Amino acid sequence: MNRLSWYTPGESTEELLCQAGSVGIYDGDLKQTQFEQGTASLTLQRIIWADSSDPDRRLVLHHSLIVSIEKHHKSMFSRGGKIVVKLEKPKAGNVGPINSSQFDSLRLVFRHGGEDDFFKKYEDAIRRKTWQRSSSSSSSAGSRASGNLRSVGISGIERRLAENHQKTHETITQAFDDMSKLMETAREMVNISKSISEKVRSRKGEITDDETIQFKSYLLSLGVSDPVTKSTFVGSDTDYFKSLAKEISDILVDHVKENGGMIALPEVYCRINRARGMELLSPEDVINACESLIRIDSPLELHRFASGVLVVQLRSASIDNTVDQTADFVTKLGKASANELADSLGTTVVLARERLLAAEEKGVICRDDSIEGLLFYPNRFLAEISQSA
Amino acid sequence: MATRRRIGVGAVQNRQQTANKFAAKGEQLAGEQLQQFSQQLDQLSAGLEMFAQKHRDEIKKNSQFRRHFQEMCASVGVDPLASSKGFWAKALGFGDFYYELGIQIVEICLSTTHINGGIMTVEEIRNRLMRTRSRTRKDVISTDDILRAVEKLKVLGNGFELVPLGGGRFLVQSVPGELSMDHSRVLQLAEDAAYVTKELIMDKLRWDEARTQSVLDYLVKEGLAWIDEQASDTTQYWIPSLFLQQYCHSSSSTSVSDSLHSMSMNNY
Repeated sequence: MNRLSWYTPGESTEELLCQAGSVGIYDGDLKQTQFEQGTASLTLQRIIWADSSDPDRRLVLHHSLIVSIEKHHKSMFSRGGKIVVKLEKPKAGNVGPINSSQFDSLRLVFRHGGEDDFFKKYEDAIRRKTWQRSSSSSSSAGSRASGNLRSVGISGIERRLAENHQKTHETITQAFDDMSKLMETAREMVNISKSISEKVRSRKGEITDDETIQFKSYLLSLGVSDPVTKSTFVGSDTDYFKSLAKEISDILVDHVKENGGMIALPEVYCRINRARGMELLSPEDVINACESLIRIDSPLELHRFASGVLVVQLRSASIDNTVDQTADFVTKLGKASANELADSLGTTVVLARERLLAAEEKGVICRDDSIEGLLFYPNRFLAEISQSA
Repeated sequence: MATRRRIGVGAVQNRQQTANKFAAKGEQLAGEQLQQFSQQLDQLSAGLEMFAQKHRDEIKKNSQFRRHFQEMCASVGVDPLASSKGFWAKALGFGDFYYELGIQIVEICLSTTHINGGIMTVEEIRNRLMRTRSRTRKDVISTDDILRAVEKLKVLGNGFELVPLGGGRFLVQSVPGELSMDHSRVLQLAEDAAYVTKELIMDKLRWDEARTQSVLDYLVKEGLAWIDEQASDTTQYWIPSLFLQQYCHSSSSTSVSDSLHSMSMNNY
């Protein structure tokens, strides 16, 4: 029991492999324990046990202390399946709840089952010896550094470069050996991939000349960590589309603002799916979600042009909100064409025309459709009548 | 001490030679390093592509790992979408294959809009697709696949359209008029002379013919430009509003009705 230590946050990568509730920890053959009920979490480095009644009371048992483990099945008399853990001699300087023990083993008792799965993964984690790899690699790095001290000059630099290259090459090869290895070293690989592309960029400008690949890499980098999925919304499409609308809104709002307040739906489809990575949305889901934008408190909305073109736009840019602005513009100039309005707003001719037509419909401006093209004047009929009235 | 006494031409030359050698060595090393990094980049891309293909479901299942995987793909520029065209996709258009293709097609169009204004042939899209899809995969995307994928985007409104060119060839127009600044740019170009020609646009704005023609057609359709076929070598597109403005400025004595008259003469 004296091998247990109080919990401290682990090294950077600690992935949860397995978890079991209602686990008690017993020393040797003793039937009594202070740690009767808790949740045991297995990682590649250790087991973390958290007390059910006080989750801040957490204990750690590092895999490096383990000699062997054994599984005992539930018998008529025992209260649950258990795993017996044989331990190494205690290390000096261990800070734990119990400072001395006559036993070299302890029992993990699984009151609500789950020991089979836990045992299998536990064995696997111990066999992999991940903790050794990290400590041994640091020690070998140390010895290499001291070796490098002796090899100076150009040949020394060359050798060091070659070594570094070889090391990275090996890491990459090993990581892509199989799925579990890649998962284990995922964070390291993320850093390697970043540093390599960074290095190539600093020397060559870009990792590739292809605009599409550059764009792709940019879109992917704006990932969402937890994409909304249909399976979590059983039976309720409305809620599903609302959460999806929220996701779309969060991802796109900045881009829409930068892009003149409007982007076409195919672009929405592309951007949202790139951000989601592998969790794809169908075009139908995208459009349903965009229709739900109006139902959540989002600065964006779906707009359908008379031409059948669909866009997601800023609510503040919607045509109804621009009527006054358009009328002001026409009044200031005396008369205006779609082209002039487009120039002044920095939007497209088609949109400017749309805005003018909307303002006309509201009666604040009126048209002069002549050989010169379509011009709009302030609606003085309306203005003067309301003045005289 | 010995080296310090060595002055004179020989010593200077010697020193220069050494410096040159160092510089050459440095360059060689930098070159080799770039090559090595590029190699590692390729190695990474190949690995990621293979995993995206083989372990798709496993990657999807683990949210933490999925995020890492996406980060890797982003920094290396690998496409994580790698469904292949299975039997169902081919027979019924089911599965993710065509959805993924749709995303890749939109991406290509978006990334090249600054060059082509959103107008490109299906063949061009196909070439770019083949170039940017995984290098390790051999399955070929046909023109028909692209047409089908674009068809699936129809739900998303008329913003993404196939324009038939005849002979079974198609043009994809990915920027709808509502979002295209091309019209404005042609009108700006016309400000000097009050008219433009196809050749002028292609020369000044460096657009290809399809893009130019589609903008001109739109301007004519909307009554913003008039066709004048009197010039022997080309067709002029007059912008009446600009023409009138200039006419009135240059000779204020002429009445507007005169200029209108000459305009209509031009037109008929």
